[in-house]
Amino acid sequence: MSSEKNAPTKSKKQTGVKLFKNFTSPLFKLASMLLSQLEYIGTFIPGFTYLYTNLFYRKMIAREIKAAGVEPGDKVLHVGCGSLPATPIALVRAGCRVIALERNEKSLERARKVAAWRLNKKELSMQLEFRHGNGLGVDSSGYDAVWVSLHVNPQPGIIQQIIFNLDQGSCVVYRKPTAWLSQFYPLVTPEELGGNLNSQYLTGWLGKESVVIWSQDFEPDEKIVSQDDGEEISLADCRIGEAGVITQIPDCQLLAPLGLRPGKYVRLRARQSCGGPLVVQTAGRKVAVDRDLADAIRLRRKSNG
Amino acid sequence: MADCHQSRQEVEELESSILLIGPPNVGKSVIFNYFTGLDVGMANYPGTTVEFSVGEIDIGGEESARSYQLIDVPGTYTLEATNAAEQVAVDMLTQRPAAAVCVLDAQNMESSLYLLLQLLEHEIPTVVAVNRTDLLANEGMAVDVDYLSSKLGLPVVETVAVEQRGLETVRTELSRLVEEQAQQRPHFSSEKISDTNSHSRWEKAENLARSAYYRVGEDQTEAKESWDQLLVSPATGFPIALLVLTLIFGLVVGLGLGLRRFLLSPLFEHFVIPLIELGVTSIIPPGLWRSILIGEYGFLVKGLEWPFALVMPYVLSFYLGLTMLEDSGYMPRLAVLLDGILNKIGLSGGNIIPLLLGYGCAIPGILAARAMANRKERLTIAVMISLAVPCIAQTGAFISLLAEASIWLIPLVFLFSFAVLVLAGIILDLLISGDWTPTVLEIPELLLPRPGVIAKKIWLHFKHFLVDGAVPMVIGVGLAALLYETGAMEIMAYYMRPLVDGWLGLPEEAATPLLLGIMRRELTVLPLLDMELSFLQLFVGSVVGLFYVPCIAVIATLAKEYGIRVAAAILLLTTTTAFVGGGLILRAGWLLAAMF
Repeated sequence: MSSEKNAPTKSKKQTGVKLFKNFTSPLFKLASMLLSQLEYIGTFIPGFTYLYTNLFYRKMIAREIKAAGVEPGDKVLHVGCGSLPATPIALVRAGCRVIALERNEKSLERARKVAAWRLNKKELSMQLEFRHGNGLGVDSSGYDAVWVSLHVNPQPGIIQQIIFNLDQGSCVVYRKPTAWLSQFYPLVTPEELGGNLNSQYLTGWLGKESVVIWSQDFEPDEKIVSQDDGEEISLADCRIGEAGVITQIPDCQLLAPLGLRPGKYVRLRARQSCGGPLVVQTAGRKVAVDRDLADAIRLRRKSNG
Repeated sequence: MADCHQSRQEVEELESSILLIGPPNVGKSVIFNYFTGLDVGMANYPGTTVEFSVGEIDIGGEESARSYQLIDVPGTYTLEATNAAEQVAVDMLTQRPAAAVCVLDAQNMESSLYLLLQLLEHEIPTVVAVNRTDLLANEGMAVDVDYLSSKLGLPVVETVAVEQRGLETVRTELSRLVEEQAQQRPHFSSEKISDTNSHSRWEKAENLARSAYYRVGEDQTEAKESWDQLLVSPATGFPIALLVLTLIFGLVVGLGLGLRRFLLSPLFEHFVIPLIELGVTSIIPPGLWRSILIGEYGFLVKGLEWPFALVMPYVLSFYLGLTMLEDSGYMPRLAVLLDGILNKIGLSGGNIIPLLLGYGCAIPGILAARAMANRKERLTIAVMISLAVPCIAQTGAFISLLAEASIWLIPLVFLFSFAVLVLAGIILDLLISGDWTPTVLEIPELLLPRPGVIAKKIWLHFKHFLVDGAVPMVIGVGLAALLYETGAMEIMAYYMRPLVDGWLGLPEEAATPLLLGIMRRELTVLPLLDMELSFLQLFVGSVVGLFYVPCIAVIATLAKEYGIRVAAAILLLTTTTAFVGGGLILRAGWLLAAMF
C-alpha cells in the first residue's frame, strides 16, 4: 500500500495540542454532544438523513473505502456510529459486513431505525449489526478494517488500542479535524503513535480529514517499546485473568490447531496445583497446557485487556 | 493398531468408500450413526473414536441409489500424522476414497478450516458439514455457509448432528458429488488450493474463518463461563470435584441398590423364580437334570438372578452416572485438575478417562487408552485396569456380598483398591521406560446432557451388557451347575484345597468362584454370597476376587492390543497379586486379631 505523507505541518501543532489537551477537553465534549444531538434530532426530520449524508459523508466514505481497500465480504468495525449511521450504511452498500458500535443507547436505537429505512432486509440481517458498547476495550482483532468516528472519546486512546489489536494486513480509518478546529480536539497522528506506521491522509472539506493506518509494517515488538503498553513474558508467569498476544510457541504440533499460535490472543484462566497444567482461553476454546510448555510460550502482555 | 486389521481388509477397496473426517469431539460419530444406523460411541471429550468404524451409507437418487462404505476416521486436528489416530487418517486419504465428508466445528472454524485445506490438498471430492452451529448460536454468532461455499468451491452445509438437522442435505450433496465424479467431472478446482506450507494455510484459514463468522444475537454463554471458571480453578475445582464424584457414586450405588431391593429382587424372589421352580418340578423328575436347572447352582435360578437381579441394576445406574459425566464435558475438567497429582505416579490427567470407563467395563477402558500419547501410559493404564479396577458387574456383586455383612467393608475394599492402584502406578512408572509427553488437552464446552442422548446411551450399554455380560454369566453358571451336580467340582476343590483353604483360609467350595472367575469377573464374587463367611474371610475373598484374572474377554483384548506376551504377563501379575495379597491379608488379620 502507498504511504504518502503529506502532512508536514503537524509536528508544530502537536506540542500546542498537548498543552491544550486538558483545557480543551470540556470544549471537545460539548462539541461532540452538540453534534450528536444535532444528528439525533435530525433523524426525525424527513429528508435530513439523506441530505446530511450526501453533503458531509458520501464522498468522504467513498474515498476512505477506496483507500482502505476494503472489498465485498470484508468484516468491518465502526466505532461510534451515532444516531445517524452514515458510515455503516455506506460500508454495507459496499458489500462489507459491519459491526457498528455506539455507547449511547438512545442513539443506538435511533441508528437502528435509520438503518432500517435505508437498507433492505437482507442487508440488515446479514451485513449489519449494531452493538452497544464503549470504544475503549473493544477487541479489534478479527476485522479487515476499523472505522473510528471523530467524536469518540478518548479518540487517541481508542485508536491506539485498536491499532495494537489490529490483525496483520488490516487497517484503521479515522477522521480528524484540520485547520483551526484541530485546536479543540485531542489529536492523534500516525507519527504520535510511533513505529513505522504505514499511513495515508485523505483531505476532505469542512475541516475534516481522514487517516488510514495499516498494521502491515508494524512489528509487534516495536509497538511495545513505543507505547509502553506491555512486555513480553512467559505464559507461565502470567497472573490469573491476564491476557496477551502470543509471540512465540515451542515446537509442539498440538498447540497450533488449538489456537495457540503467534499473533493469537490468549488469557490465562487457571493454574493447577501440584505442578499441573495451566488452563488457557484461546479464541474458541479452553486448553490445558503443561507447565513446561507454557513456560516456553511467550506473550506480549496487555495492560488493559 | 492390531485391532484395525480386520477392518482394514474390509476397506481394501477404498474407491467405494466415503471418509468422515474432522477434528476431535466435533460429532463425527453422531453423523456416522445417523447415516449407517450403527451405534458408535460418543461423548463430550476428544478422542471417543479410537479406532475407525465402517458402515454402510445409501446415497443417490431413487434410480441410481447405491450404497457406499462410510468410514468414521478418528478425529484429527491436522493431517500431519503426529499420533496414531492421525496416521490412520493420512493413510486412508492416500488410498483415494470416492469422497469425503469434512465435519467442521462451528465454534472453532480456524483450525477446522486448516484441516479442511489440508484435506483438499489430497484432491478428494468433499462435502463440508459445519456442525455444532447450535452452540455457536448460543454465543450469538453464525457461520455464512454460502460465503464458504463460494470461496472454497465446495458444497457447505450447516448441521446440528445431535438434532439430525442438515444431515439429509449432506446426503443429497454427497449423492450429487459422487454422481458428478462418475461423469468424470472434477467438482472443485484444485488450483485454488495450491499452497502447501502451514503458515500460508493458517493465514488462509484465519481469513476464511474471520469473514465467515457473523453476529446474529447476544452472547448467552457468559454465566456458563463464570461457572466454568470455578470448575477449573483448583481452589474451587477440587471441592466441586469431590462433591460431583460423591454425588455420582451415591447415584450409582443408591439407584442400583434401590432398583435391586425394591424392584428386581422382589420380582425374582416372589414371581420369576417360584414360577420357574414350579414349571421345572412339574416337567422334570427329581435327579441330575432338575438339580442342574434349579439346584444349588441352578442354571435357571442363579443363572437368571445373578445377572438380572444383582448386576443389572448397577449396570443401569453406573451408565447413567457415567453418561452424565461424559456428555456434560466434566471429565476433561477432572482430568486437568488431577493432572498434577497423577504426574507423580507416572500418569497424566487424561488417563482418568480410561480409568473411569474401566469402572464400567475393562474393555472400553483399555481401548480408550489408545488415545493416550505414548505406549508407557497406555500400558500402565491397561495393567491398572486389569489389576485393580473392578468392573460395574463385579462392583454390583461386591455390594451384594459385603453390604449385608458390614457397611464398612465396601469402602474398605475400595480404599484398598485405590491404594493398590497408586502403588501399581508408582512401580510401573519405574519399570516401564518411555517418553514423557507434555499435557495438551482441549477442554470442551460444558453442556447440559440431553435426556434423549442419555437414554439412548444407557440403552446401548444395556444391550451390550445383555450380549457380552449376561450371556457369558448364564453360561458360566450353567457350567458351574454341571460341575457341581456331577461331582466334578468336589474333585477339583479337593486338589485346590491347599490354596483355597490352607493359604487363603476360605471354605473349600470357594474353589468354584476361582474357576468361574476366569470367565467373568463378578463370578469370583457371587458364589461367595451363600457361604456365610466371616468378616475377615469376606475381605480376603473380595481382595482375591478384585485382583484375580480379569475376564476372558479382557485377556483377549489385551492380547490384541499389546500382544500375547504382555497379556500373559498381566495375567500372571494379577493372579499372583490376588493369591499373595489374599494370603498376606489373612495373616495380617490373624495378627491383628491376636493382638487385640
